[in-house]
Amino acid sequence: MNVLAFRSGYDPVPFADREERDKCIKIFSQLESDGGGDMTISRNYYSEAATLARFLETSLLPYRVWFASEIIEYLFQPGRPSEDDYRSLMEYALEEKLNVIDSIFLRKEATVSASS
Amino acid sequence: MSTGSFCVSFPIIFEDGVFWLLRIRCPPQESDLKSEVWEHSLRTFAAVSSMIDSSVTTIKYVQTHSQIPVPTVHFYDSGYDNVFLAPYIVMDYIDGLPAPWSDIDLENEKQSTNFYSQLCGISLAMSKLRFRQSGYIQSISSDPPIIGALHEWDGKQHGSFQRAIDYYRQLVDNYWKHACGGCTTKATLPNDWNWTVALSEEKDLFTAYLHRSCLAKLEKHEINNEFCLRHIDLKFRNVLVKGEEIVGVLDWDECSCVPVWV
Repeated sequence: MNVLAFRSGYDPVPFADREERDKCIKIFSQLESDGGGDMTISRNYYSEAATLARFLETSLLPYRVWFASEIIEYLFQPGRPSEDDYRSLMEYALEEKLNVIDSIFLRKEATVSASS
Repeated sequence: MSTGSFCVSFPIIFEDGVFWLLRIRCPPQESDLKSEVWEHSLRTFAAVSSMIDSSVTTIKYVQTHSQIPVPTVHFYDSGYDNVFLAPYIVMDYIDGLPAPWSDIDLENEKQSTNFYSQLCGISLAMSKLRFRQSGYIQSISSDPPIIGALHEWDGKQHGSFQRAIDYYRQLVDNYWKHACGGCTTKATLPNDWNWTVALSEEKDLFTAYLHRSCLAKLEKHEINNEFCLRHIDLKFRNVLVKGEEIVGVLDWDECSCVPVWV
């Protein structure tokens, strides 16, 4: 199943499985061209912005964590990420979470001291 | 009778041979509200009603602004104070079979190309329906139509946004806050931690962190602030076919205007 396309954001070929995706984009591109359009959608389909946008839309899905390996592959390296990659990224995520909590705490503290 | 994840449908047969379809949205049960099943759908009754209103309005908009085959809606009630105690829509019954149960053979190159060409045509027609902001279509009594906020899985409102990047920022922010709130893992991971044994809340935090990284990259791009209509479940089961021709596209629930990223 083409999990990336399923219920993600705007996708011209959300019905296409992974193996059919290229074929469908070609058909879509032909239709865009036949309609006198400038083929902007099919031309941009594989662009970085479009790919990132489709990744972000997966946050609305119940099984959004399935996309983690695809996102890592896309963002950081070619090939499948190793367990070490997962571990170090998880540590970054926890650190980021603590930083955010710290900054909220500091902001609250600053507000309290300013009002007193 | 046919059933989907959230709906049940019954044919209405008139004496003169006219067929209509009654589609009832099943209300969430208490147990559903606590389960993962409803995580991806709408948790509040008000949100479901709003979504049904939008679904009907969207069908009407698509019918008047494109050639996409959709059923005509005769009447509906988006509330719960009715004979079914649930939102319902009465619409035309379209004489066709869902594509997976039709005679279309996707292994056959000619049939497959013909089928995909029709689907791409529908998708292209939807992409041409452009809007100035994100969200559900609320009213088509004005031009351009009135667009309202999206409802997220937890009933929270999302938008409406006129800038695509704001749309994505809130998506990421909501997910990050949700993931941070659910994850109690300390900063130091146990030695035997790995993805396979990670808790689901850890996986959520991890994925939400990746989304933040995606957003940081996306923010470097100039994104067009145009929005187009997106059918959230344009899958074969929602495409009705007669012979080799697509005669209907169903299930416009949660259809919304999203950034078109071009």
